[in-house]
Amino acid sequence: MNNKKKLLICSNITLNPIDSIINEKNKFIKVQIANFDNIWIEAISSDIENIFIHCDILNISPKIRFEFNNLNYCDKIDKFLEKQLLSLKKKNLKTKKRIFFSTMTDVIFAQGVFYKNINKIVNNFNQIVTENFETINLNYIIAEIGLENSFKASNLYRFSTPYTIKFLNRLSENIIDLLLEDELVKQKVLILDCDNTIWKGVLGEDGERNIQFNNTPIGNCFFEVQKNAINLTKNGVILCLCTKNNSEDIKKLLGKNLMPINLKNTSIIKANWDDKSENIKSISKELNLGLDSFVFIDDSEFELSEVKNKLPMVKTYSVPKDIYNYPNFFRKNITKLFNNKNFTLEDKKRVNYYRYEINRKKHLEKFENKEKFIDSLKLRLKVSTDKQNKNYISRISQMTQKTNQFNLTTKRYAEDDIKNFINIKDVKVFTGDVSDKFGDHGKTILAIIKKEKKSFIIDTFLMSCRVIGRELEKSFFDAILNKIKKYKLPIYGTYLKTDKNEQVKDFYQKLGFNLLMKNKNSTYYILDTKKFNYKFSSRKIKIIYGK
Amino acid sequence: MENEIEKILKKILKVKSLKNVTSKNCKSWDSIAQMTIVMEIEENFKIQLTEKDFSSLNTVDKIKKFLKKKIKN
Repeated sequence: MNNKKKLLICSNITLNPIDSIINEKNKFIKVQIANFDNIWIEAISSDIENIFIHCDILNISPKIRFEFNNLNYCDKIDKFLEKQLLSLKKKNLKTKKRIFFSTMTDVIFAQGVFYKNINKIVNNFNQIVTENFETINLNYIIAEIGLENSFKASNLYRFSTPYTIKFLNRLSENIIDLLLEDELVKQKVLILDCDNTIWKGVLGEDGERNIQFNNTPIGNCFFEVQKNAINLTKNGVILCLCTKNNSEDIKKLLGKNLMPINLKNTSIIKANWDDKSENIKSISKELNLGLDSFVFIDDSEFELSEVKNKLPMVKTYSVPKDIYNYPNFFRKNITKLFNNKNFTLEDKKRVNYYRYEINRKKHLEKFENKEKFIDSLKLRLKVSTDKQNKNYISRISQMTQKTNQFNLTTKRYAEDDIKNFINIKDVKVFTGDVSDKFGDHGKTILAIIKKEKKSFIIDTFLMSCRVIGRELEKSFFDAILNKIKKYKLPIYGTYLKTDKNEQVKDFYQKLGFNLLMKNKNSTYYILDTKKFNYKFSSRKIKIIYGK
Repeated sequence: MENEIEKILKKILKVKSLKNVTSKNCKSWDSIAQMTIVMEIEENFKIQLTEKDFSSLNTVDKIKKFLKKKIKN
């Protein structure tokens, strides 16, 4: 996080203390408080990216606190709010700010005579905001710290805020969490132990018939956890199992499809008696994914601390002692680690990719050398240029944001940058879609090449880790060269070193580029026009050009 | 207690030192800050301030003195 995140707070009550509270808790957020009581206009006219809106029922209009008995008046308020919310949503389709709301709360009126009228306004408001925006649930905060600790009547009449500092503290924490959740590394792999983690009991001792995963109070808890884990896989999370059990026992049980978790929706199952840290390391190798995107849940403190000690980058969680709290714990603490708002279609396909990957690895074992193996895959590379990529802007931006290993320059680009590149004549955006006899990998290779007066400069060259090791990069470069060699200009390539891209440090050299200059963290290469008739790839990879 | 007061004031006024700070010589000490100071002090020390207290507490020293006296009683 280099730059401070700016946040505009729009509210119809006084929320100003939040400024100093957030400032103390997190130095990366800069708060600005919008003009009091003008939320709908302020929210849309400001140029600040992140906007938090708090619309309090107590101050929607000056009259509201003594007009709750007036049904007509309440209806008017209800319609007014609905109109404002929907128009804000519509306007934001263009401005694309991140707008989030606190839900409206009516708990302090919960016992009044006119509760019904108020409740209707509040329910309708909450329904619209939760459907259309991100929200912070105020009732949850109030339930956590208690009604008495949340409201203070004297604050309402003196300062126009019904809340306590304690409440505003909790609200601030919620705002910070929501605002910074994008900055966290998104987890990709969920590894679960089996005994007493996805069912009650020990399979090897109690036997298949005596473990519980449904139809008993405790069993239902495990069932719910399993269901939620499976829901994650539908959003691209990779589910693996790691258990000290006999492999045949586990496979036999899962093969019966009695539980939500089965052989089909788990990517890798490690059922053996080795250290769990070793198994997790091997899962990371098989999937070609970094351990910092792994989450591991186990009921045994021993296993957890073994993994924690040897693989500190893996996030470890213990099954709650009271199993009745387990489903809620999972929903609240585990799901959010994987929560990914900017989900692309590619993410959804990812689970399948890794399954293909595992089949491919098995296939590889049959071949004496890698070259023969690659040729046997019947690889196809579809190369698209510039305008042909215009429907994939989000995916292309995501590739620049997420690819760390096979990435020569690690330049991160927003969607708007990519849109620009595609539209500018002197910048060429090449993408490659890869498929083979096991399945489709989607868009996994990208090059952004800038044309200068007397040369081409490779600004970005990257490849998703799931297609590494098939020499696709060479075929891709062949295809690019094919498109640009008519200009007869030399091509410059740069390698910018990061903590993660060691594996491509000799990439340009291997392609036949000549070394120009080497600094501590950057190396510059040139490919002169004499080499333009080279074919870099000697593998059987079919290149198709997009139309 | 003095530490606690100072922590609160530094947080609200966003200053590093409180030496001789008053509402007149401190830019960030506006009416909003004054309101936040009252809200924080009331909750932290579990007291209720009157309108009169509210307007008279306009220097760091006055706030400290006032709270020492108030909490003793």
